[in-house]
Amino acid sequence: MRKIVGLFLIFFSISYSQPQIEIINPWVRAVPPNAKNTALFMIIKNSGDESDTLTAVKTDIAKMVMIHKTVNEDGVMKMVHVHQLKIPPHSTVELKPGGYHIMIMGLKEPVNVNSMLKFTLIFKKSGKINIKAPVKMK
Amino acid sequence: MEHFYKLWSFLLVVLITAVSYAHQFYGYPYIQKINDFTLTDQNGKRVSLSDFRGKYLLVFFGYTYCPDVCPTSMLRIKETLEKLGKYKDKVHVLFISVDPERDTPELLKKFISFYDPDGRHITGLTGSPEEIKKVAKMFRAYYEKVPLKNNPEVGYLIDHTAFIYLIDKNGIMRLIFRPANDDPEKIAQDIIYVIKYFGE
Ligand SMILES: [Cu+2]
Repeated sequence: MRKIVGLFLIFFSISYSQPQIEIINPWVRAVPPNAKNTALFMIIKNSGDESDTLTAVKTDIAKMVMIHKTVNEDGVMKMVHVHQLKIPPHSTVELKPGGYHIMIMGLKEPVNVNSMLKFTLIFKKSGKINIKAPVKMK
Repeated sequence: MEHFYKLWSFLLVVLITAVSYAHQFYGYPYIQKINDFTLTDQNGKRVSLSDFRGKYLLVFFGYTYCPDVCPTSMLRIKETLEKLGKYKDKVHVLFISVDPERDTPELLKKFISFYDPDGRHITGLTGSPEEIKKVAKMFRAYYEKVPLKNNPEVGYLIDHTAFIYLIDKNGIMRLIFRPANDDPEKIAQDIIYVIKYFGE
């Protein structure tokens, strides 16, 4: 019995002292066929008790990927390079047009509406998370 | 002192504008005569603002390499056109490039056709850097190149204002929509009101 309680405690401490990352509704913006750049958006949910940090995103479809934030400074739209994106415990961070986004630069081929694109998100604690994101006209 | 008078005449204009309309505008009411200008369209043809007399114009400054802001605004403009119903053909969109060095007519053509399925409602405009500068100044549109380190593929991005301007059929600017005010339904209602107010 003591063994079972012990195992339970170990299990408990492992599952609850970690971040729990879930990627919700990822999508890539449809852009004109000759466009070189686009962006990936999603909701990152952390239902764990610890924060996690998105440090990088990898993909084969483009030459360069960066975490960005669009900011409006007195009406001038600027993009700021964000080196890491922190996801606090029990919270969600939304990547959306006009805000945080994964900027995809130097597309190797045109992205077609409704096609699914593969990405690997790299988190400090949760490690690699592979996702597929549809291309949407929105 | 001159500045002071400018400010007062500006406020007066805003006040007069505000009281003369019976409609609560979603965009920002404005009155400014836009002087005629000539740029190069997506077919390489020289076109002037005055060529569009009789149409209500939506003017947007952007660039085709733009990754987040311009595609959003262009999609909102596309959706706005779709919400204009029978007024759609009274309205024309001018997409003016703030990246004339890279935005050739050919590039512009591919870019705008993506947002203009019937090919009749959007004109892409480019020109020499000096021409673009002059036109942008008239609209108080600001843009600045931002070089990207370690990224020869993209080279540079451009910080820029992303307002949508509504110009009436006589070449007078009437409304300005900020990027945060990008609900196509509400923009379309403003446009329809202005068309009814000033005549088709
Ligand atoms: Cu970006």
